[in-house]
Amino acid sequence: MFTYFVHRLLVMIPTLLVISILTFIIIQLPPGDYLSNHLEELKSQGESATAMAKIAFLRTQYSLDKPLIEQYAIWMGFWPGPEGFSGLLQGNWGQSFIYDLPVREVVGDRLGLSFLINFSTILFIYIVAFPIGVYSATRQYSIGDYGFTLVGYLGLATPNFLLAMVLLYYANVYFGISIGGLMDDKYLNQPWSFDKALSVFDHMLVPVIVIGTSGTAAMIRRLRANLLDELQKQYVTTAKAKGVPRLKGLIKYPIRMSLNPFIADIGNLLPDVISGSVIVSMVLSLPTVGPLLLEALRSQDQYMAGSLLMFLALLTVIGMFISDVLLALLDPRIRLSGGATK
Amino acid sequence: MTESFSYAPRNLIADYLRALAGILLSFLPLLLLNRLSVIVWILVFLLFLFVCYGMRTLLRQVTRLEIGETGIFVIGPFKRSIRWEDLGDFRLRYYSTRRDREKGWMNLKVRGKGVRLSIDSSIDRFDELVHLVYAAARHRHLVIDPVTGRNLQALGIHVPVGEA
Repeated sequence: MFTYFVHRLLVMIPTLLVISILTFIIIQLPPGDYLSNHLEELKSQGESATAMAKIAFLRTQYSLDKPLIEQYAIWMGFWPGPEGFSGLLQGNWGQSFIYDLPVREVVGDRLGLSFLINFSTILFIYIVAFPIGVYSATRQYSIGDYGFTLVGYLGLATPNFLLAMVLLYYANVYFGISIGGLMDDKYLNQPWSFDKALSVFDHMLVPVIVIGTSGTAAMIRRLRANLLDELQKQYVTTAKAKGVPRLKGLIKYPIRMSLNPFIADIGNLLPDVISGSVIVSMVLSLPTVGPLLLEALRSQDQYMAGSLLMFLALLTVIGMFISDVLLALLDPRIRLSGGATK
Repeated sequence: MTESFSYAPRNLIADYLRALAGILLSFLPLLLLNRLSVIVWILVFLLFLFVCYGMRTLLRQVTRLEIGETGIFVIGPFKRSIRWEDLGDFRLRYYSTRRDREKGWMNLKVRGKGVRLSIDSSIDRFDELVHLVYAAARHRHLVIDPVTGRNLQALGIHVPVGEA
């Protein structure tokens, strides 16, 4: 297992390097950059030469006048820039052009809140999907199964942002409350306190349900299908015939086997949930990194967009790593075919 | 008659290369870091892990297993042995991360009198080694769990009905 652990870690490093190259290329693909767009804007407004000189200074300051490869190496921290070796590797996320602040400061608490929401959503998906999936599979074609199937299809078919809008509307019209935001207004821009944390937990329920609905529905369908496959295998029939108690006969192998896609999905679920939460965050005014990323991509704020994309990629790669290691451990550890081993 | 087993050189070379790549990939970025940060700690942890991996590979290179009529002996810097009369546990597991369960690896765990040996299938003539240890386990009338029984069969070792 140690060997496998090391192999997977070793693969992660070049994977992240390739992702960083792709991310850099993608954020450079649109013609021009934030500063050249800003320069055009200033020219059209007839701005003074001082402003233009400032932009020229910023271009040199942020190494935008250098070749692409050098820009990439400086951004990653592999090559010295105007401030020496100071890139992602050194923990410097760069400067946001829109906010004229370091990206780290702009992102601030949003990163932690995004992580909290997405982690809670994944937890919600697993907690809800697991019992329903098992129930649906063990009571196939019962009224409960049909009911959950219907709810599942509705969950799959309803876009998250639409559900968010509907909930916003009805909460306001019928209960007179606003479910937007992730904390009461009085805690905005305030230091963290117990009351602020409580307020965040109070507000989290709706976004978690909204973001997690489609994932839950998909997971229920997948678990149900996998468990049904397992339950129809001969060993389950044999176990029943031999008088193995129903619950033991279910937990011992079929559920363990059908858990594989559950675990394998950790890696996929993470980016899905994060990208799925971007529009919901806009609709519900959630202070997460999603809206920031969208804004950065739209206005070509390359350092902010690049840093956020790299963070999401890192989460995905870590998710994949965790799911791979868990899969290796969870496997029933039976070699089906014969022959030599590694 | 005593049989000797050691880790195949081609596997060891690959492991050395992996350890070296890991050490370089985690050490070189450390040279570019000028202040203590989370990244430094992560890289130091990775470096430690790859160094451990390299040392384990080295340990495997200088270690060999001997299976004789009296027991199983680890000959190398850390000498250990399990005499057949002390053999208390015999488990053969198969690990795979692929959906089709191919390209995995096996691991044999034997235990006796407080000594535990874990042998990976990357060792040369693993099938033969398993066969010899299983023969000793049978002789000791050890209970073989069903998973081990199935894995033994996958290696072409006959397990009598009712034994696993």
